[in-house]
Amino acid sequence: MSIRLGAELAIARLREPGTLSAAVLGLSFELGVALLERAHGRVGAADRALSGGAFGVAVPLFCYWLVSRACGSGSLREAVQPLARHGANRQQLVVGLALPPALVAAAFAALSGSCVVVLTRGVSDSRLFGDVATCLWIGIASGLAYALAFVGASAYGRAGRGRAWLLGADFLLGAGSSSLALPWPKGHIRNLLGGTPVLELSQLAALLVLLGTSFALLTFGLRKSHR
Amino acid sequence: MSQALLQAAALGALRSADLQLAPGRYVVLASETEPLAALISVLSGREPPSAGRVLVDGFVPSASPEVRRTIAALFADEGLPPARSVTESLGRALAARGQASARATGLLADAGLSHLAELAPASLDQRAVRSVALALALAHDKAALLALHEPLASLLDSAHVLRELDRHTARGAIVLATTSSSADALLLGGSWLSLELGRVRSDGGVTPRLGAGTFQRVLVETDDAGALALLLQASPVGLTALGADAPNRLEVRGPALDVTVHEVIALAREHGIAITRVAATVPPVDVLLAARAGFARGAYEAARAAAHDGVAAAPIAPASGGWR
Repeated sequence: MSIRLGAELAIARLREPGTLSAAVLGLSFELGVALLERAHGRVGAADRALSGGAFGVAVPLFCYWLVSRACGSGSLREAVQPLARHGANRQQLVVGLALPPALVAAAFAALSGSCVVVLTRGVSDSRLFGDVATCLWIGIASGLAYALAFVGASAYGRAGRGRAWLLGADFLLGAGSSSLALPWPKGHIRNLLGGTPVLELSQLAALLVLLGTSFALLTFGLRKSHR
Repeated sequence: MSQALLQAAALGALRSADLQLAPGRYVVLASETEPLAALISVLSGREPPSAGRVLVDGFVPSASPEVRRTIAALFADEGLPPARSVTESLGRALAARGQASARATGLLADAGLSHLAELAPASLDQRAVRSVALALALAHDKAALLALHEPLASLLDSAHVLRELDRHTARGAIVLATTSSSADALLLGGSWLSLELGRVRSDGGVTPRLGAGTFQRVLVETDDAGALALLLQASPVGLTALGADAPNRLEVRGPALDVTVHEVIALAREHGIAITRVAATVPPVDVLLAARAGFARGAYEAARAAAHDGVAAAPIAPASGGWR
């Protein structure tokens, strides 16, 4: 029951004006970068556009924005307070609250990434369908991972500033390939896209670490919001 | 029988709350600068205390959804669950409480707020939001505890609010209201408590009395000081006759000057006692400040000792009449 109420809480907040505009803005940015990369040179354009403009910038920023909105720009505790105060279970509310932004983020990352592949490869490219399929599952994993991690991080800091700390750490530390990049999604997503791996991890290991760290962060957030 | 217990509970400017509340009506009166809102937050389980503990029926409300389901609260900074309409918002709140969300429409109609039903919660001003939240709180028929901040400052008719509070009190709930208005406190009735310098305490038992009325004294000149003193002992607002230095003079201690004067005059009129003069008695400022500091320190030490030993201790009150 509380999970459903939590999901309804997030949906009501995501329904407010601006969500569609943010998605269009993010998609426009990704496509703009894709066009620039294609103009720069077709060879490797898809990889550069995906790991740079799409999964490097637009997806994490859009996920951050989605989770901020679902949390009402507050902390996780404040986000579920309107119903938790009446007796709904806080942890179940948080689980429900995390679902809509995670699904929207996954859909956005998968579809926008696919659009980038189509734009950079061209419809006549023989590897188009294979790359689109790969991009779809990487997008789903990335969107879910970022959204869940941001929800978990929202339990920390005043007004959920843990989200911003995570975003900053992901941009700064996740860009490398040393052990400092291990906890953050960016390096593992880059690995899945065929870029430099973190600590020479295989793609399967990167996927497991990506989802594992995100679920771990969500679990920490759940535990913190219980009290 | 429900019971709410606060032991040295602190949250922000609320330094220490020591209360043992049995079913009944309580009014916490304090100035606007005192953390009345924090007291409601910590008692209702909205926030866990930063120190001390809060128990409602033996459970920590901030960690127990089942207990929070039995608490109806009205906060200073109310917010409604986001939704397309107030009715939908209330429906979600009722569902969280484990009640039928279909009650929302009737609940608004009962409170006289039907005109807000189809509006978006985000479009309401704070007074309207508090009114809807108050209607929701008052409609909680299974609430063991109602913790309400300024319940008479809303769009709801005061008579309706007082009637509902009477109903909840009569069915055995703990009803605690906080206010900075002595006029509202008088209307709300019940046992009075005072929050001063971030501290509030009851001296135990089920009839806590105002503890910080040391300086709220009124000098009354009447033709029968003895009879008036006897009547004051039975006053429901906790007046104390401090004794008379003459047969026609009486000093009365009460929770607030206007409340005290109002009650004294009402009692005198009711029993045909003539009053020739009423005046506030004000101590010298330096003595007043010293006494307040002494009382605050005494209350703080008593709270610390109670928290440490688990034994209720009385605060050290300043010597009465020392400034006269």
